[in-house]
Amino acid sequence: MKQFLTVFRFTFFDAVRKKAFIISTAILLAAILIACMIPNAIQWFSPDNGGAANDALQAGEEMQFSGGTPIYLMDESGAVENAREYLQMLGYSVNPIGKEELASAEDAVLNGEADAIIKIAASEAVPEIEIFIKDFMHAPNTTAITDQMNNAWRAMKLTDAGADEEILEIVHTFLPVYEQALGSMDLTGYTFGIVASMLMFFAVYFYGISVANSVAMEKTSRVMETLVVSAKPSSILLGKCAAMGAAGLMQMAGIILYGVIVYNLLVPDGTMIFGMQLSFSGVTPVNLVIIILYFLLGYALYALLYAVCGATVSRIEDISPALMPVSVISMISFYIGYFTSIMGNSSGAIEWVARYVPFCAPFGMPFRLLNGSVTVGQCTISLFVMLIAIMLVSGLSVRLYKASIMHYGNRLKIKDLFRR
Amino acid sequence: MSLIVNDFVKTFGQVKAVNHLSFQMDKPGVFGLIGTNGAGKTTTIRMMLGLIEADQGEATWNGKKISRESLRFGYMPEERGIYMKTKVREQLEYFGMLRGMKRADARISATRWMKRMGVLEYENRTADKLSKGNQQKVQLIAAMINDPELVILDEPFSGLDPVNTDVLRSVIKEMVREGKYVILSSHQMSVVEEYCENLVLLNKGAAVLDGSLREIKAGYGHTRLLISAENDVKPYAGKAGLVLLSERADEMEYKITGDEMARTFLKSLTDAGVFPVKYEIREPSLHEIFVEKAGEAE
Repeated sequence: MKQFLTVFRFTFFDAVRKKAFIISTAILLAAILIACMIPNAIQWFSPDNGGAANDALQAGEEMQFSGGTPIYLMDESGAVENAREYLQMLGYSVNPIGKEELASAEDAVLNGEADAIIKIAASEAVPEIEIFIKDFMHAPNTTAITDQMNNAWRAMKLTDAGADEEILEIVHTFLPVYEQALGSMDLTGYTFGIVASMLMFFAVYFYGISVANSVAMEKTSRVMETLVVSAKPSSILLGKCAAMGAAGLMQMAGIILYGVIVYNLLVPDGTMIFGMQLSFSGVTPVNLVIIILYFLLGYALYALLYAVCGATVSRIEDISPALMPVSVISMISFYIGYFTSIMGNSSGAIEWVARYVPFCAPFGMPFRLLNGSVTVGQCTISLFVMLIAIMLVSGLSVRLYKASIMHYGNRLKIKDLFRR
Repeated sequence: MSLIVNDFVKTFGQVKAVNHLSFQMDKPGVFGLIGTNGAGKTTTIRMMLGLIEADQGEATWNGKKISRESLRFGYMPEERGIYMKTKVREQLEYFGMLRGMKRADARISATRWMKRMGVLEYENRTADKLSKGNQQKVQLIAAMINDPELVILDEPFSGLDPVNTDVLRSVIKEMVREGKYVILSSHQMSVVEEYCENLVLLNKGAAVLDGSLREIKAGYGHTRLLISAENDVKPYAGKAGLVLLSERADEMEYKITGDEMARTFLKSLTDAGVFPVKYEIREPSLHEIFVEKAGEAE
């Protein structure tokens, strides 16, 4: 235990004094500060708040509005006579064209000068409509155009049949439809869940790689030989992983705490983010403890594996291929854990895997917990399974670490590791 | 106290790195583990310290298998390695504490050794700011910080300049005076010859010679003759059956079968009126013994 604490202390202070740690912390703190200043900056420039824009308006300058998005309409047969008026209702600036102008209109759409060409062709039953757009990324709201063309055609036909304005108004009236959620529609849990999953992945990935680099550095710089005659490999491995995890947790906790303080100080009350107001009411102390446990156990699980990867290389430039197996496991696990949780409604084997397989659970369970799709009891089972897995993995990792730290030469392959 | 290495065997793939090696050290002093590069010296040391597992055999200290718990040992590996981005004092105290020392004791020991090795002025510098020689001194201090009973130095003189070589020489002599057991691995025979009372000579993983250096040399008897004379002695030497080994501007070295041959040759010279200004009969050097033994093993 004394050796473990000695390694822990040395590694921890070594990690937090590194330039990379200090610079990454400073960048994140600056980014949070800037993000929290944005709402104030927006308010300052808002016309309602007497900002610069308001001053400009008061000085008599008028905002320039375009006369609607340009769109071409080709209806040579007059199959939908009132199409132009109905399209203008959508805010488009409609430019009627003939067949001979079609090519130049297509060029205009391709060049981005117009949004679309609406081509109406007469038919025996109902007119056919084609909408020409530039591409997937530059498509107008074709659903709205379609609805409006239908309205125009029905209005024309009803008028021809002698219907009056009242009937036309009834036909054009949409019923008000309200969606009512029986469950919670507070998206704060959703947002925090996504942030927690992302943070978990970045923490596991970056702090895990830091552990691997640290081990690889000790091995390639030949400090390892002095180190292993001084302390047990298990103390070195576990002390190192714990210290790097503590440094990471401290960095993350510090940044979150700073974020909360800066948010409360700088962000005006009632500020909406993506149309909703953030509240921390969904993050109960129990939830917070569980999320921290997922962070600690998830990190520990991956850090042990990353450390073994670091111990297999003799040259620091071999580290990337050595990390590949664990990186692939972490990526796949993240996608399983994350996407099954945000998509919801998943069931069966994949859901079970995402909840209880130790590699996946840290990436999805915090989200599920914050959104009420798992209970504290289910989280406890999942954490317990992770704990068992960590005990097994740490036993195996110590053996593999011991077998690989004194190997120099070609990088050890997985089968060689187990053979040793 | 005694160190016993009993029947060590280690194979890497098809290569037998150490082949049934045994030796023992019964009293304090310097024991030489000598051999060419790749002879199996470092592998033997690593097996002794439990860094790699032996296929066969074991190393014991006072009858107990050597481990971090059973013996306070210090080890300076051939491949030097210290934390380059960490301050000298900080890492020395770290290594001391890892070996069970209290922080205060590690601090005192680090100060004493840094003063002794002349690197105290660099205590707050990171290791990468030090010269190679000073880095090597820091490595030696890391091995010695916990006042070990058994000290293993793997090629300790390689890369040292003459001044630092003298410093290390005096440290090794001090260790011997303090009653420590020192194992010195080297491929430089002159170094081993200077310190080692006992040795084992390795060639391709196997011991080709072991025992007391004095006895080994005595066993060979006087087999070398160094002669310097104003006249040409070659015709007389040829007639007496001496084999010329080397020739320099002012002296020649001959191989002889023993004292009797040297006496007969000297008589023939004086009878012929040739007066040698130097006539030295000596035992073979360790280097010569090694070359001969390695040749026999081939």
